[in-house]
Amino acid sequence: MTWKIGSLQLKTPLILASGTWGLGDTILDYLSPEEIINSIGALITKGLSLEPMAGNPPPRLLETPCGLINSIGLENPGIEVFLKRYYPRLRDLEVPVIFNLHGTSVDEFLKLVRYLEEENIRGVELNISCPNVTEGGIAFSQSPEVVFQLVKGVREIFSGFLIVKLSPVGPVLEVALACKEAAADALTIANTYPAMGIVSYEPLKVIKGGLSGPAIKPLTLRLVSDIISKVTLPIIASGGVLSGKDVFEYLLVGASAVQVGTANLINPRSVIEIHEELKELLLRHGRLLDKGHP
Amino acid sequence: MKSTRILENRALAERIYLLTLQIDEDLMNKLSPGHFVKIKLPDQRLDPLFPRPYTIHSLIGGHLQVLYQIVGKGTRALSQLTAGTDLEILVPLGRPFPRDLGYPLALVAGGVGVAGFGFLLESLPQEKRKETILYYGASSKESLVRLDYWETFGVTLKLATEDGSAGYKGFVTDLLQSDLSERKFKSILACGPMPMLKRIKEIAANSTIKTYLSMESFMACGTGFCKGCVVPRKGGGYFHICEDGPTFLADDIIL
Repeated sequence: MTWKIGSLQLKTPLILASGTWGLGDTILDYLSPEEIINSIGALITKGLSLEPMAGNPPPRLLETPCGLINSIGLENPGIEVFLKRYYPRLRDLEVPVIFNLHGTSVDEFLKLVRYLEEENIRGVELNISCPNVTEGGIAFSQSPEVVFQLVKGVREIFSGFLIVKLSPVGPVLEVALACKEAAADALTIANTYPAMGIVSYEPLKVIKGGLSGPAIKPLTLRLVSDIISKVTLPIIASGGVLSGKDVFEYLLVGASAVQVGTANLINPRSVIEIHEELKELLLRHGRLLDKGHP
Repeated sequence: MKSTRILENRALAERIYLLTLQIDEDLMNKLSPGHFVKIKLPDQRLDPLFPRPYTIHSLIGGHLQVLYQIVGKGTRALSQLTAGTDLEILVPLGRPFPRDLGYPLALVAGGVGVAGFGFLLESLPQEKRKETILYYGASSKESLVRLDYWETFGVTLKLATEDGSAGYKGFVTDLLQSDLSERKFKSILACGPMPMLKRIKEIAANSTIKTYLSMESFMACGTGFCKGCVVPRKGGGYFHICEDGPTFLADDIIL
């Protein structure tokens, strides 16, 4: 069976989410190449920027009931080092590798994409949940107009598969429509939810970051369902998947593929278990996927 | 992750437990002192969501032992499990203790920070154990656990309690500090709460003793996947406690 996100063909609908499997240099410590090829449809890299980023000072993590707040701060070695040092081993896995990109201005995104086009990279996922410094630090995802300009600009210079990863907050539908109008190939719905937690009282330490994990799954399931009913773009669901059942439910509401994120942190082999559970559910209830969305 | 079974989960003191897990020989051969293990609680548990990391305490008798203290909901849930319970572990994680420890060696432990020194001492030849002093501090006599076990190694055991109920009255770091004038340690390896590690780092900065600190941290993944457990690195940037550590040269990190 093959799965399709628009023109992109995948062997399974499971995609490893950005930032949840490191830079990929240790994934083979936990999964064999065969397991990766058989269970994972595509890999999305850690968020990459033009220059290396050290990330945020600790605390970067706080576990909450059924969830995790993270504030990693996009730590990454920069696009150039990633391409040289980390990408070759991932390319050899023969699973589509999609580059998640982080820019602080439209111009920065365009530079990143130009670079990837030259390197013949065939898939990108734009992270628009970050502040746009040229627009006063307001997140791209707050402005459908800016997202339109960004996606249009990228589309003009990038011939590969173009995904936009939406924030779950802000004018989500308007942003989704702007992506469609600017000829994006697919949307990832969605990033983590803005959240805050108190890590300790004395010394007082707080964390402001993004909430992921099973706590958010019902919220993102609703968002995926709402966007699918109004936007004719393939949707990749992402939010709180821990089991084959979670994946099946996203497929049931119309997602074309589903990302596995926080589950990789609980157990680096989660995706294998999730795939086995999903296969069983597809055998039993797969016919429901052809009956339209609830 | 690998399946395992609890052979024993015994309270040693208020909130301090010794967990014994069945493991096979193949896995045992992969373990070195300083490695840690993530323990996933059984069933489809959503809260606590993440398996907690624990230092390997001992491999005596072919079993993997973990010495832990109840500090939150993860450790509390673990303490409620009984013998015969099946669970999953991810091991080995992290880098072992450094191989260039010099002797005489001072091991400095605060509370259950002592855990990892068991496996280390089990691995050392007798002549090196004789050149090792274990400084072990806790709040009170009751919280100094497994003293019979520590004594079997033939190391010099120096105890400190904050309330003075056993050994030196005060912090274990003060005990170490007062010994430094007469004992010429080549290395210090310390594990315990952050204020203790900070004090050890200060002591090390004023000496030429090669000093290592073994860090504790909440971890989401333990595998380097999330980049969440960091400690600032001297010279800029961060180390990841799970993949670069958990043991660091005191001089390399900023606390």
